[in-house]
Amino acid sequence: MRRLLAPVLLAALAACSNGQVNPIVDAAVDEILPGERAPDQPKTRTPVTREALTRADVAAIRVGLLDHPSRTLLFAASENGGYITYSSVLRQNFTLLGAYITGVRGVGWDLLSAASSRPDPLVTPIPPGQWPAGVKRTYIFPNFTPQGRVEVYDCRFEFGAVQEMVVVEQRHRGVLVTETCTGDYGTFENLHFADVGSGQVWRSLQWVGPQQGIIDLEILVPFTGRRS
Amino acid sequence: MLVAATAMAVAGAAGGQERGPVVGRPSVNLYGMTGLIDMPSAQDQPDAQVTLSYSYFGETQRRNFSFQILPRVSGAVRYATIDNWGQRDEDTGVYDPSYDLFDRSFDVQFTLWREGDWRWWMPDIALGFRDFLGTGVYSSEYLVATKTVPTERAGDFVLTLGLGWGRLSRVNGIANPFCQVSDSMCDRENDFGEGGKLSWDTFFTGQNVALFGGAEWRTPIDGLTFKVEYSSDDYKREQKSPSNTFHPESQVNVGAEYTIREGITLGAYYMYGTTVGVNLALSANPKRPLVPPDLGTGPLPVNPVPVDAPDGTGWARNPASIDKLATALAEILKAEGMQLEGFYADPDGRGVEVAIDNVRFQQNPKAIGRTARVLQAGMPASVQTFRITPMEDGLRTSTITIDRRDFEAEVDRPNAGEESWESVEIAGATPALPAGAWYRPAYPDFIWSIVPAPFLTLLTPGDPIRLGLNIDLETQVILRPGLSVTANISQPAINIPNDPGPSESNLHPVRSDSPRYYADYAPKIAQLSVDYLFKINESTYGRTSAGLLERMFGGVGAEILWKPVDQSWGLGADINWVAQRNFDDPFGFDYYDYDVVTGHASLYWDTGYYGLEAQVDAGRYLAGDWGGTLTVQRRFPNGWAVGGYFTLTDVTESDFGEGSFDKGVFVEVPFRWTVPFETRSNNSISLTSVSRDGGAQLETSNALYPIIRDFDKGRLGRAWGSFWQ
Repeated sequence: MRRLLAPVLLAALAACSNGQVNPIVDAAVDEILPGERAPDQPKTRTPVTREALTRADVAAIRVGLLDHPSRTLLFAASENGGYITYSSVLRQNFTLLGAYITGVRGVGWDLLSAASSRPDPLVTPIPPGQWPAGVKRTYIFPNFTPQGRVEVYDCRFEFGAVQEMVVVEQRHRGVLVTETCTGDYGTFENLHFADVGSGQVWRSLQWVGPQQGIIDLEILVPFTGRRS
Repeated sequence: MLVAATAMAVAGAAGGQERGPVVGRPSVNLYGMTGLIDMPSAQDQPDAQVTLSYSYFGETQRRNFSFQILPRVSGAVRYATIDNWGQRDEDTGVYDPSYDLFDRSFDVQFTLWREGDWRWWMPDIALGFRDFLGTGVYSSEYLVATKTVPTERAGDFVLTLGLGWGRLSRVNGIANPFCQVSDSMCDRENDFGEGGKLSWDTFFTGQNVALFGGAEWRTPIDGLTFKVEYSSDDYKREQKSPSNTFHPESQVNVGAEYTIREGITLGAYYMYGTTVGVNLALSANPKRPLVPPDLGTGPLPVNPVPVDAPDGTGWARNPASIDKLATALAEILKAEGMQLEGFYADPDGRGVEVAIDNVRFQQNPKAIGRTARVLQAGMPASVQTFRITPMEDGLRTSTITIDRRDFEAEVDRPNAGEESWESVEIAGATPALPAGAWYRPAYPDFIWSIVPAPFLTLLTPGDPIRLGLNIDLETQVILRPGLSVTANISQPAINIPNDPGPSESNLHPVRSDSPRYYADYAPKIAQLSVDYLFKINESTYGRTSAGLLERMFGGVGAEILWKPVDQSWGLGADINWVAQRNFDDPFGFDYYDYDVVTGHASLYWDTGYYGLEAQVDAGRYLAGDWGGTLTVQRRFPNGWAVGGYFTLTDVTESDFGEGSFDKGVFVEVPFRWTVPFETRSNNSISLTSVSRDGGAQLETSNALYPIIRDFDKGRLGRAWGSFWQ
């Protein structure tokens, strides 16, 4: 079971002052990307392997910008009512509810939070044949108010071909789903690769804001519960 | 089989975004206001848009600063140079045909009606006042309507028609309807003496009014606009001098503008049938940072306290545990950008208070939120309440009380910003932490910095724009929180003006000699003072200062401020005995041999309306004159501020000199707005008119209200969105 560790108290946290992020994230990074956190060491990019992910036993995602080849590995660092915050070695944070990106920090333009109507197949996996016709998505961006600037979109799903895709050495058979969203502020398009059986979204191109644009999200190891 | 890269390459082609109907931002005219070429239009810039523009045609140059003050109110301050204006010398009586006029003027425009407010065909309608607070060279009023006609393929057409009074009534005029009603509206007085006065008694007067108008074509080519207009300004006064070479032959102007990139527009025009004009406009919006604002380290992830975590409270009564906890906490907070100044644990172990100095984050709620995350992760399980007290210049400002369970429940969830704002409590901080608190063992503390200090001098006659550089060494010994010795030395480096010599003021030169204090390349002691800032109770702050308080004055002073944290207004008072320093001797006072007791009572009011703030000061000024100052500014939670002020005292207009009374416009731009990393530095640009001696105030570097202003409930609320960032 992929879980996250219980929070640690001050002694462990004190290590964070030395450029660390979170003990869970740090341990996972050490396992999967040895040498990545070492200061003043030339960075040798180790390819992420499924074996290393399994060994780390921590929920993990990989994200990238649509027009940028590099990808960032993030590990589950905290959980609150199903909202999982994943952190990178540089403490860039993505909060996900299922496969729905509901928060972004430290990558340029923040998404404060997001919500959607239910059922939302990004939040809870739904077999593709049972997906709703659409969902309503609400995004909150920084603004000069406590509640931020709210943008609401009506989104419709459109199913494409069944394909196979490999996500870090793990082959998935899924269907490409185009999600077209329209609202008062404009339109955007998401694209999801949903498991043909369970509906689990393994990869997704998701809009996270007018400035940040589209994020390429891969679910490497899904979150399945908190480690006690 | 498809591998991921291939699949998502296909997907990448599909993913994308489109932002609504793209309607170009209206461009500015040669006066810096939204408009055609030389004529205004009824359109507005986006709220808060700031534009700096330079235009040139014929023998006229205009340097304009304009601001969309409110969504329907815009304004501009301008410094124009008109070559060969021609003028009779006041002393000799000799007419000089090649006399160049340097002229300051202010405009304001009100949008009365927005396009589509009532019916789709209704245009924008605006009422404008050009040069309403100047010498009257450009004095005019106008009522103007503008309608946008979008097309599917050919771009947008923007049509404007207006009716002008004053200078805008000079061509093909028709009878002024107000003149028909009242004879007193028929004569238009354009002699404003020293200028700078509100010319309200001339509004809408004159024999005639005239029509003006034109069209813009915002072409389908991104950023390219063509303009044509019919001007109702005959530029008659400009042609009075025999040396003048600008003689309009047509009232039709045409031109093209191209937006090189967002915020930079260049225009070229053929004007008045005889000359070529250019206009360069640089524009920005405080609400839209120039760079991605959050490329730094994200906040610490937050996990709840485990239900089975030991929640003993003995640690709270053990000084060794407290010391260990506080020391570790200080280390973590330092890495996060906060300095832990003090720590106190309630004896029952259920609450803690931390006093923090935010040294990194431009927005205070962000520092508070990051501190709360550290406390959440690091405090023993028994702690249920976090009290966070931001300190500023050694002053304890407000205390934000956060319930740990609420914090845990809200983090990372939708609407966390609003919910946290509703769940936190904000109160004025006590003057000190309770007895037995842990304090940072760092005093005396020495801090210093060497910073390049570019300066931009605008609107000075004969030297309209000067960009130069000083290198500032700023040092401070903090003896204890609030008590410090400050020594700031400024080394002039690049493009420093020469000593202009003594001013010709009728008053004691308390400010008119200020250029002398910035002249030449000798190092200057900008400040050498001992200051003590302290808190008297939860809502009352105090300050005493002694030494070389500013470049021009040294002495002693005291200030008190009453500003409850949950109140939109506050009261303050300051009194100072100061003597004027020598401009060429850092420690001398004998050159001017002048001292004065100066001080003011002040009212501060945060209107809560679009961030507008008002301040009224009444009292005695540096030249010994008595009067009052009104300052109004619009402040943004990200540190931007645009404002203006005027001062009326018992100094006569003739004694005051050009401008009649002191007034000015200022802009504060946070450095954070221009760079993708956190910094609290600000750039200030003053568009004050010529330094005069009437209505001059002491420049205090640590006035109380600006220090504590951002920590009251209203302002914290406006910036609270950053609490979770």
